[in-house]
Amino acid sequence: MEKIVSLKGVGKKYKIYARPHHRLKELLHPHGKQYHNVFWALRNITFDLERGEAIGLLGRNGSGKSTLLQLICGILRLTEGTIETHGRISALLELGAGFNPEFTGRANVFMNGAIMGYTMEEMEEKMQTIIGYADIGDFIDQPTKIYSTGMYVRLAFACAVNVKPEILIIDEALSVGDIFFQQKSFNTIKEIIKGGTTCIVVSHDLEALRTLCTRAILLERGEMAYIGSQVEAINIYSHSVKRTKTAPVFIAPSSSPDAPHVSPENRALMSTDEIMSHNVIVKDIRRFGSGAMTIIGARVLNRDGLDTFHVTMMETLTFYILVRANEPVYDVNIMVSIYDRMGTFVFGGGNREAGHILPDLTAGQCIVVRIDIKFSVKPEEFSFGLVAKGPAHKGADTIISHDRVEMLGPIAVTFSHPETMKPFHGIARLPFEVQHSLVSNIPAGGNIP
Amino acid sequence: MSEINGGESLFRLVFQKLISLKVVAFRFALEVVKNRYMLKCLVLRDLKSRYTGSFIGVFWAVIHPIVTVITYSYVFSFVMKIRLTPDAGTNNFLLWLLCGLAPWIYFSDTILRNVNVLIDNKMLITKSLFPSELLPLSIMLSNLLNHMIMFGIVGIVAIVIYKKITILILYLPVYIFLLSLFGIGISWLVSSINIFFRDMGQILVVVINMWFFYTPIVYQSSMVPENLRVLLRLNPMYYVVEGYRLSLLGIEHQHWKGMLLLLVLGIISSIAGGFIFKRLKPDFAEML
Repeated sequence: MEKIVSLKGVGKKYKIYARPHHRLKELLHPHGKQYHNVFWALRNITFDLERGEAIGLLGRNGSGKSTLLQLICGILRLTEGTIETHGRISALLELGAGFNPEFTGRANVFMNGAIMGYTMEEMEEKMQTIIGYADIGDFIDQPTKIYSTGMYVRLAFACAVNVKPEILIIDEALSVGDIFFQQKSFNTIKEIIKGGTTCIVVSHDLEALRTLCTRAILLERGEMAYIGSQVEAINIYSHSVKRTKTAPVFIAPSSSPDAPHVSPENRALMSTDEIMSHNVIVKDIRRFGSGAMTIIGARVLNRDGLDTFHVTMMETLTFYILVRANEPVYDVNIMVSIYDRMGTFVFGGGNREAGHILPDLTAGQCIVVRIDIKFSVKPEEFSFGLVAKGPAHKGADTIISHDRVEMLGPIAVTFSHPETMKPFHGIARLPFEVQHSLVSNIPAGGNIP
Repeated sequence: MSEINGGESLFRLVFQKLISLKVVAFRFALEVVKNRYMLKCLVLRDLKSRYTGSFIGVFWAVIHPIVTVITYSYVFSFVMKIRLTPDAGTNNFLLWLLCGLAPWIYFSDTILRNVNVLIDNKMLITKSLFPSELLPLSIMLSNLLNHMIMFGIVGIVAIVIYKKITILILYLPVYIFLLSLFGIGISWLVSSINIFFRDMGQILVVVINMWFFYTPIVYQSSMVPENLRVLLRLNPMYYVVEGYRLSLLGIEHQHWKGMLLLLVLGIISSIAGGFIFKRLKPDFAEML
């Protein structure tokens, strides 16, 4: 395999001066007296990356991750060792800070391209893709200083990934933006890696690293403590971190003691007006599907009858989905799909999966479907989609989407009681049971048959 | 944008002359050409940041020197009653002063604004592989544009009213270029050193202030005592000011030596400044 990045014995030394003027004194001292203390930010870093490989960098704050990235980019000067890179490097160091706040988004994209060695004409071609990806509308011609953090990150990310780099360096840029952008950026990075780009990722988001990378390096005080499989690296890292930090808790936003929007007895059936007055589907949402049906509206209630996307872990949200048939349809399945922030399809279930058969509908007929989902998933943000599907015609085997909307939500699943035990670990709670019985004692040191 | 492109081709032309001297210079010129869009953005930003939000915008480029000239004229011409000797080429003190002050403002402004240019653009240097040598160049080009605008408005009006233009005006671009060459060298030098030695800015304020009175801008060189004139000849700005007055006011005098000296100094300063900048550049990110 082709080596794209190759580091040999890389080290970075900083001279620490007790007082600023010591630097000058040292420079001018006739006998070359030393006034500084030496601090090695990195030492003995050696690894190779092949084409299309994704590697994660793990380590606590100050372990040298960002310094290493800056060295690979060529921004900092090496003290010892060699770094070889082949191909264009695109770097997202701390959220595209290479942008000049006074310039318009468009000018920044051009300049970014120029730094990477693209000509104006080449960038002109990529411009449409980048603007389309960033999806910030007319703000592209405004100075980036007026951008919101989200817009800034979107543009920086769009810029970094759409210039077809050979090496992509991402520093903590994964967990930014809303969940929809996170899902999009995850997919893009996955595609880029598949397309043969070598990727170096720094993130405190361990799950992201687990998904994206195949290898990882654990840095401790500037040295490589481990290099190898990302799973092993994450295990070592999280083991060392857990001792020092308090239990990670996803605190719920202050739960409002609002009066329920809907009284409990009213909940089984919901009228069209009731749904439409709290419709969660925005007007101009992109729709996919044959058009034989239209998902007109949906309403999401929690256990207490509040219109909310916040739900405590292990509790239930109720989805009311109002659908109209535009032509006669048969054997319809109305389904809710849930995606996590990496775009993983976590769950999808509708009436068919629940064993509930809906009547055939004639053109113009509307139906309300209620789906209760217990959120036995990890505390995180999820997006959801709604789909109405069924056989292409009566008796057909092929199932097609009549209508589908995505990117709804986000649903925030929270876990707000640090004193109580978590109901499970991992992504989702699978149905499980535990039993036990006491058996005869085995003496310590005795042979186990 | 014609001025910028003009400046660029001027740069290309002169740097091509330097190939024999140094390949590095040529490479730099290529980089400038490659990064011309970036340079254009930087210059435009600088101009915009100076004038956006102000009502009369670009006219400030003219008002500043005019007010300075009027102030000095009041002090020297009316209060102290200094009269120009015939070799000044004009008896209009205002016009004469303006011809000396304009290149000085261009030069000193370029240097004083360039001292902090790298620190101001810290984010670009520490977070991306930014060609930082373009930053001082962009400030200078933006000042050059200002300088041109000033000449465009004031110079032409004044000269048309007070005196007919002589063929000597053709020397003006030569002097502007020589001054720019000298200025960019000094700019690279001070901007890179300032990162390691932040007192540079304060020192420069003092130096520039003294240099102003060391240069015959508000006084005539003939007013300087004979035995001190040798000191004057060591001052490159002396030749610049004299050269501007020669081309604008048509005062003919021996200026070839001065021009040659300026050319040599310009080349030395730009190569030395560029060299030091290049040597210090790898450590910029660390020091910022």
